[in-house]
Amino acid sequence: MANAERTEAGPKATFIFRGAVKKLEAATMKNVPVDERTAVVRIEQVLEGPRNLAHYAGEDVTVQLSTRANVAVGQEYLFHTVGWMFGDSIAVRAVAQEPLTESHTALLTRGGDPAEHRANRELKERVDAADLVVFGTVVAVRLPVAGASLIRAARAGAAAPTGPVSEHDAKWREAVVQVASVHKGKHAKEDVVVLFPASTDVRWYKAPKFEPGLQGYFALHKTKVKESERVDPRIRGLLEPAAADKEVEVYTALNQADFQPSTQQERISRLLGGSTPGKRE
Amino acid sequence: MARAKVTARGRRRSPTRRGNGHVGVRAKSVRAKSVRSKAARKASNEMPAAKAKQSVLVVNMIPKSLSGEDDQDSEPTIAVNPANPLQIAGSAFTPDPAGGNLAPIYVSADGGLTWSLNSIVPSDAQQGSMTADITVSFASAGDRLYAGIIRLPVGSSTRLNILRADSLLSAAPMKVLVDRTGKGVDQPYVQAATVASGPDKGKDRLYVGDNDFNSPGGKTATIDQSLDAGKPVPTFTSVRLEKRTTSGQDGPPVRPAIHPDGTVYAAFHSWRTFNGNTGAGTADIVVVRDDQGGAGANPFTALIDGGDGKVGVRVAHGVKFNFDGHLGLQRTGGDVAIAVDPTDSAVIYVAYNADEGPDYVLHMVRSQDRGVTWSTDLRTVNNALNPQLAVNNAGKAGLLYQQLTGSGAAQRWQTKFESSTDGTQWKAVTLATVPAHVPPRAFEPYLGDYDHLTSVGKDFYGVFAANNTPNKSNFPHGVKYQRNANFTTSTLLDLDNKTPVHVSIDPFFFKISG
Repeated sequence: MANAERTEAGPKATFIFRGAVKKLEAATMKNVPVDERTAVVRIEQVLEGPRNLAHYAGEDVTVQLSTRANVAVGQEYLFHTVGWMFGDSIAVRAVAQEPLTESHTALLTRGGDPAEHRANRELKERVDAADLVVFGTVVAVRLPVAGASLIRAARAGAAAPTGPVSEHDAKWREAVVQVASVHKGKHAKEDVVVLFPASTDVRWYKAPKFEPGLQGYFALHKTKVKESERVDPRIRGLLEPAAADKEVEVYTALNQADFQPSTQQERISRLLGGSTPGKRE
Repeated sequence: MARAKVTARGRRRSPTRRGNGHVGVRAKSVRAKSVRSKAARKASNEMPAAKAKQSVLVVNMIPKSLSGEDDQDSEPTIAVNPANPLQIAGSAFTPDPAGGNLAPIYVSADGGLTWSLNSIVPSDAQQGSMTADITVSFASAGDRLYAGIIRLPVGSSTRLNILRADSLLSAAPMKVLVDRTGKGVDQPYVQAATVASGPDKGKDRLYVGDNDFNSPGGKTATIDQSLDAGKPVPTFTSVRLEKRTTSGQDGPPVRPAIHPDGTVYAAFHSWRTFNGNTGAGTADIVVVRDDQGGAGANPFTALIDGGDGKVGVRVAHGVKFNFDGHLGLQRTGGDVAIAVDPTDSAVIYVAYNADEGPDYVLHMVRSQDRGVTWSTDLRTVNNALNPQLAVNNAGKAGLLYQQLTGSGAAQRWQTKFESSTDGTQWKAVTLATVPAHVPPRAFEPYLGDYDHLTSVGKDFYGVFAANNTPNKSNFPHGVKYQRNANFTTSTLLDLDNKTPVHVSIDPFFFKISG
């Protein structure tokens, strides 16, 4: 296979390049343990990768080959790799390496920004995995309300008993999104509620944060949570015990790619195959 | 705040107590002669390293190949391999540069002079290719490296992983020894040691201090321990340290400290009250001890508080904290550190923080009788956090902290290392003094809920997170950058050595000899 989908079976390749083997059983970094599968490879063309590796064309790097079989010095291969060591130079592990053939021509000549190619692939994966993709506008952000009726009334003036609190608490909020169009899945209501973490802790900071007025595409994923999990720990102790373990299904958008601003309309449309947005149904 | 039994007596050496079957590698009790001048003592506790006959090495740990990165690489820790101090591991909130399913640890094979990243920690590419909390520790023999992490991907509860690598430069992903979710856990903090002699000789003892919400009754301070962590499939036991009624939980920091003779201490933030609306609370700083490395029937119950007769001596009572508080851009609410003197297991130091009026005050105290009684403050520092402690093989104590100084836009984070041979005279080395509000915070915690200090032999090794502007005046004792930087224009540069790169938070390694 001549594209990034090559990696589906094993670890997913995150850095894909065309490279020429310069030396076998050698490395560009002193800390890399060298064995028969270690090779110095000159990167001729970066095809897909993170922003900070996108400009490595022309650099010698260390590759832990996926197999030593049929690898020769001077030959070019398509390397599907993941990160390993990063020092004066870099070392990567090949998930797969392929001798170049005509089937690679389209990939090698597509041009464009390697980092953008990768971002597009990640976005496509999120869209593919989503249960519902809508274009809409956030009209309200609130504390999760579904569980509110299950919370016992606190006595006036009494401190609410807390569940354990952690700096990693999600601080769940609900964004009410007014739906303008549906691009994947079915949704009949005028709005959809998205559970999201308001926390900026290291554990949650990459998850999209929503605020009223925000407009764009939402790739939403059905997620089952317990009532006790979406209620703020600081009032969790007020939950009726029977309600605490009740499981509910909600929509979440926890990956950075799960929200795309309206400026990304063309890109989203392309990823969705240019399909015409559907109406709510 | 009131303390339990207080002793003001001077430092007294007691014979090292040895636990069952743990005849440790006993370091010589060499008393280092203080080299501070009287003038310097009078003028300030600040002393240039050269005059103090200390050599100071500070290294920005971001490698050259990642010159273009601008991540917030905060909350660092390090571990020095006691069997080979040239091998040092580090951790921080650093993502895998290639964005894969393995997060990196920092590795140095030359004593900290140069650093690489080795992506061997289980993570998740969909969630940023990093970990939440992470700490690292070497066994004292055999090169095995342990880590405690909160593993991504995110879920409703945090996911504890305890990990092991056979060596620092291992190419294989770290082996998962413990994988636990349940109600969640916070701040897994690993410390490891290898038994030097006796029937358990060669076994790695691993103590992971954590705040385990799976513990019943709100008594969450826990040590997850294995008495033979080096074997293929080690067993772990959750030892509940808290024996008092809490406000519903303990605080995040649970810090173990190991002595080679088999004594193990732990300090934790025992919450007495907590107001969920304001984040304000009070805590006792509690120290527990085990004399058999946790191997007995009732581990960590050797210390009884003279006041209430319960397990765990309250070093300080009713310490105020605010779990929602900040000092500058760094959140506050739970700073606790502990270190045991490698030359004498009776001597331990504890540092903690307290909200006192407008200040966040760092306190340091000492016990010389195995934690039974405690000194008054040996050191207090206003508006300083992230205390870390270590004691070298000459009995010299080291204290690392980060202090917010100045006001308004001129505020700076000053990272200081202080040391003392007697607990009363402290000399300070300023490792970094950097703008406090640049860069903006990408996430919490800005600098980290902890940094790290340790010792091997006579040397202190540490790590802290700071603004990485390449400006010599920010690093009074010098600094070495691996990443491209122009110190004339105070500009970070990308891999092409031309394109400017945004200032960010980087981890800085340091070593202070002697």
